Amino acid sequence: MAYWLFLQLLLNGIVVGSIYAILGISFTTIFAPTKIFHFMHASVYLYAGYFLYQFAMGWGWPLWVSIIAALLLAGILGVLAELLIYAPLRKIGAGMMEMLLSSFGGYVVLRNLILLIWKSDPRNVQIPEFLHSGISLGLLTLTPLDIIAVITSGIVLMGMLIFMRRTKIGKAMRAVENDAMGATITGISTDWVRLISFFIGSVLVALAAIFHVMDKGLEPTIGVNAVLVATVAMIVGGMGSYGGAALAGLMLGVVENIGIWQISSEWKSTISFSVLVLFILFRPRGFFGHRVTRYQE
Amino acid sequence: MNYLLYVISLIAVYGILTVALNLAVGYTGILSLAQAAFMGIGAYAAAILLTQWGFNFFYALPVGMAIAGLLGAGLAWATLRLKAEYYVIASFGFQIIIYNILLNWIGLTAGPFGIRQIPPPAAFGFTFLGPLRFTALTLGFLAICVWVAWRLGESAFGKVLRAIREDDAAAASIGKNVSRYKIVIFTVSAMLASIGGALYACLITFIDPFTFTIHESIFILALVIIGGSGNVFGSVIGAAVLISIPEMLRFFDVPTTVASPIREILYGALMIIFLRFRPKGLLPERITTGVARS
Repeated sequence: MAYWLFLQLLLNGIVVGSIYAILGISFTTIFAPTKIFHFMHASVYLYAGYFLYQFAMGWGWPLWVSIIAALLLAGILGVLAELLIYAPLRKIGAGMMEMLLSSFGGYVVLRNLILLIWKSDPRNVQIPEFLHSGISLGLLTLTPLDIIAVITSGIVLMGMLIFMRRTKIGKAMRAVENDAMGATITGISTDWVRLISFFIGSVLVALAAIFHVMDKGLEPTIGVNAVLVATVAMIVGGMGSYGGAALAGLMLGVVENIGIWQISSEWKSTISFSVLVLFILFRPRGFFGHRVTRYQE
Repeated sequence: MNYLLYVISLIAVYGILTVALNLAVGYTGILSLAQAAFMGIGAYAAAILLTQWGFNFFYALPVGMAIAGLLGAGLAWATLRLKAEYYVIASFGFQIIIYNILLNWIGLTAGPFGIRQIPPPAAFGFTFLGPLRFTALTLGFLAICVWVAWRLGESAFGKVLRAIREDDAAAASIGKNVSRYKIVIFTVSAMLASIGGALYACLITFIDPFTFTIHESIFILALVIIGGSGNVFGSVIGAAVLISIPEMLRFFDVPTTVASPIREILYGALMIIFLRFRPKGLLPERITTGVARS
């Protein structure tokens, strides 16, 4: 009986899924208020990893300092993307498509800068040994890093839900999400709200990147997969729903890992896309989304 | 001289891919990230049929076109009835899936090893061997694709596509079947892209999955934008400019590990700059008034 293998895969799926949940939440944080399909999220994810590598391994800073510095710098990178790329386009009245295309341009530039600065070899970040050593529960094993990832993901979700409902900034973000024009009329500075959502979203995606890097290492290709997971989680969860994005991310992680039970692991992203296809065909609004309009207004 | 002919063939191949994508992106406003996937389908169909099955190139071509067209129609049918975000993500996912299939279905595609020694196209006792004949062939296909795109884009059909791009609800309200138009144009775009892929395979004579990634799709998108979205000839110009300028880097003493990132930074930056300062591209779209001959 390989039932314990199934349980182990389920457990791995929950761990991976909780990181996916952070990815989904981070993309939603930016997409919901700004309506920008922020493909450069992939670059922010990559840079967070490389910043961490540079600080911790290149310059030998303590790990926790490096993590905080990488998170902050990633947030600033997200804000710069808004300031340098999206804001000028918005000023000349560009639509969603121009924003997305510029986002691709920015992604290509930033990704190739990585190749010039850090080369394309895989990199690793050394972390304290005990974080990697498995704790066994009967036949199952977990590492402390896994437990920290799951707890962090829970905190992020709770934090975002409370932030969006209880704080003034969060309420402003929701107002801009519903009706940017109306929000401006009531005196909300939409420019500031956008900057703040870019900052928060970028810090969150950096958090996911840091967990990935500490666990599996770093190479320039990981950004695109992260954005694929983030967008699929957002759609499956229902656009604009933080809880939905988190639940969908968790589900993706579990489905992918249980899929490995029968299918070999190269097909992981194929599995996540199949989930997306099923949702697009049968329930395009996702778990908790609003009704999907057929035509764009 | 041979090098020059090679660059001209490469421009023609990318011209075909760009013209094809322009039909979807420029004329109809469907932002697809899957162009490299359709290119890959065409390239692999040609490579497998030519090397393992001994097919004639001109019989292998329709097979690739049929596969790309069917998959394109399926993707379009499933997603184009929804809002823009959905088909961007769906085409993104489709691109990743095709890449995964090319990389991991080793029995069919040889996976990461790629397919080598793809023969030049031959038909009816005539081989398109040698740079001159091959360049003539690619230019011929480019002319056919431009003609097809022109007939579709600059006709009454094309006017409906533009109406859908500007306001699809309005287009539907005057009785146009918006979904059908989108599915047709997306399918045509996928089929033309597979022609570009097949020619690419014969030009380079070696293909591996790492050519057909999302970055290739973004590159072709950049060609559409810089050339001029909504203008068929703009796409050809865009391909000519963006392929030939980086090729000049070869004449300077730059190692490839540096040259290829610089090339990509160049087109990424150009994409941002064009969208900001000249969104119409090098050759702007021509809008003619009145009803064209249909």
